[in-house]
Amino acid sequence: MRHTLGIDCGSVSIKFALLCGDEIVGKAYLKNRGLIATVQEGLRQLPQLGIEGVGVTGSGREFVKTLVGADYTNTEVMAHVVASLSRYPDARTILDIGGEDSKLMLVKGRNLASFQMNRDCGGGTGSMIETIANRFGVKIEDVGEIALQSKDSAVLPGKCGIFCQSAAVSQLSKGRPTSDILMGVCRALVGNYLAVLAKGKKLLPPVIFQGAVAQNQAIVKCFEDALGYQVLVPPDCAYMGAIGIAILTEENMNGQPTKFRGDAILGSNHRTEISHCDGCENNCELLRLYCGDELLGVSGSRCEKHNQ
Amino acid sequence: MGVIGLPRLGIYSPVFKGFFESLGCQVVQPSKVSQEIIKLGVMNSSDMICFPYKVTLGQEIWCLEHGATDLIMFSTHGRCRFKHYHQLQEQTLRNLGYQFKMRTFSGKNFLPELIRITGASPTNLIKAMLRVLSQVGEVEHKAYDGTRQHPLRIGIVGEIYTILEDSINFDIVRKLQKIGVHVDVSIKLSDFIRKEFKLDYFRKRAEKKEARQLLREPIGGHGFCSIYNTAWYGKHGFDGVIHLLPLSCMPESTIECLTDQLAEKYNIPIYRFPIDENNFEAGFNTRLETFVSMLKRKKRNEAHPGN
Repeated sequence: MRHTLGIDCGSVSIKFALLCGDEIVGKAYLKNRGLIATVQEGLRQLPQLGIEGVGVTGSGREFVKTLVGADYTNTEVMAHVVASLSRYPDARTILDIGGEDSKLMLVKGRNLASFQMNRDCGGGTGSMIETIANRFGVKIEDVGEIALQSKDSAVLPGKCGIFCQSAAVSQLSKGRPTSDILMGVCRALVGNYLAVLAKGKKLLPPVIFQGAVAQNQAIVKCFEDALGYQVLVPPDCAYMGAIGIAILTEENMNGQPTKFRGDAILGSNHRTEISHCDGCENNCELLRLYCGDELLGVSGSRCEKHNQ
Repeated sequence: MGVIGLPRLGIYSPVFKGFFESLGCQVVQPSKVSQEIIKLGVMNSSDMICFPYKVTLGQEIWCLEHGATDLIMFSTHGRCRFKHYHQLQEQTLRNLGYQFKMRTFSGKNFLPELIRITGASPTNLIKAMLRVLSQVGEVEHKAYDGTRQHPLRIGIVGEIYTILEDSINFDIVRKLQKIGVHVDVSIKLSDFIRKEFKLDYFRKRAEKKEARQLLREPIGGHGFCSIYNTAWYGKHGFDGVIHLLPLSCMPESTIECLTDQLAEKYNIPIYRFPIDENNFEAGFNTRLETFVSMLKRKKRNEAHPGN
């Protein structure tokens, strides 16, 4: 069996999944502390197996593609759907909440039929819970457990994370127990998610919920309460983007050799250079990635002029 | 005769600039709706007015700063708030302290108005307009017809300025063409001219009839067109529809649920891009790529069921 690596390069965290057929043989989850350093660290944590295909997804995919020498890229929406359908072939509704984005995907006949992503704002994403949990001195992994102890959850606004935090703090000043407030935050987040993304759409079961936020049991419960169905959370919910892009890469390799740069990625001689192209009014911001003196690639250009 | 300030209209911008210049006018026109121009418009507009208003206002300010003495703004007698824009913009610009003449014309009074603006003789004007018509055909052919062999076909419906001005819609047509999609734009300028002069009576009649059952009264703007064009694309084997509209656009956001209903009926996926100054290109690209990727997979799976 071939080994395929999927990298999901999100704005908050970077996820790695090494697949051998359908089986996950290695995975890593790291906070995004700069793309080059985090990707290097992630690769060090993976088992040393011959990688025969690499796919990248997420908002940083263009840059990381150059860095690792990826064979395939696609958007995080496609990656999530493919991963979900590989585990739950009959899924009809896929909910995904990540650090700074949220997505809703509807499936018909095992094909993605429509999708929605959050637009202008990051309200109703994982960062909102994390910020408020920090304010309360609660670890993000403990939020779900504490919130589930609530007997009477607070009613909080979910549209804006900052307003939600103010309302949460004012509830705290009134002496409301932390569990009620955290449950209120979870409910507000789910309410906002459904209002922004699910407008007028029927969410049919089976409902799959993935993304790192799906580890929060209180959010799962809020979704179940709101939808009236059981919500299924895959065991590797935080890695689904990485798993999906690995599957897609495997599908698209067609027996070609991989462009993966291997150990060369771990070198400390990578540097980037930012410049502006003055070829037209677009004034594209170009990001050049060098390894030593060798130019690996240019990202950020709207035209083909800088593609090699 | 002063200097004419002319807002852009995508690929047609040079055609209109050339039209006034051929009649002996001096013209200033921005070469792109830049971030600076958008900022100028946004700062001087009310929050919830549509994006084309803000963008044209920004361009008018730019033109005035670059020596324009006469501003040209098209007007219609339709039912969308666009018909008031030239007046609102004139007032806003006067309040900002600019001295200028606001020149406006519509499909109904364009001949006398254009003669007054340009000072040209009727014969020369008509000759120049015929040149415009043939140039419109040429630029459209060049922009849209080269990709007919592409396997995937997407139709674009929605509000005309958002569809036509490529610097506010992130050049969606070129982006789609580059990734192997043939794009059919339902409201090109030629379609608009046909509609304005009621020459489109026999086009897409069955679909118009169907749309009329969903929406009895006209709604203004191109809302009605978006409905029947969605049905038309669905019936003519297109793979998907993209609905482009300015955020808060009255006609287009009103008919959202009707286009969705027709898309469902004809089993054609539809994706909607509400556009305003808060969009950012990376997010826009992700959505666009996903939509295309979704259509490609759907097409492949329908061709080889069981895979």
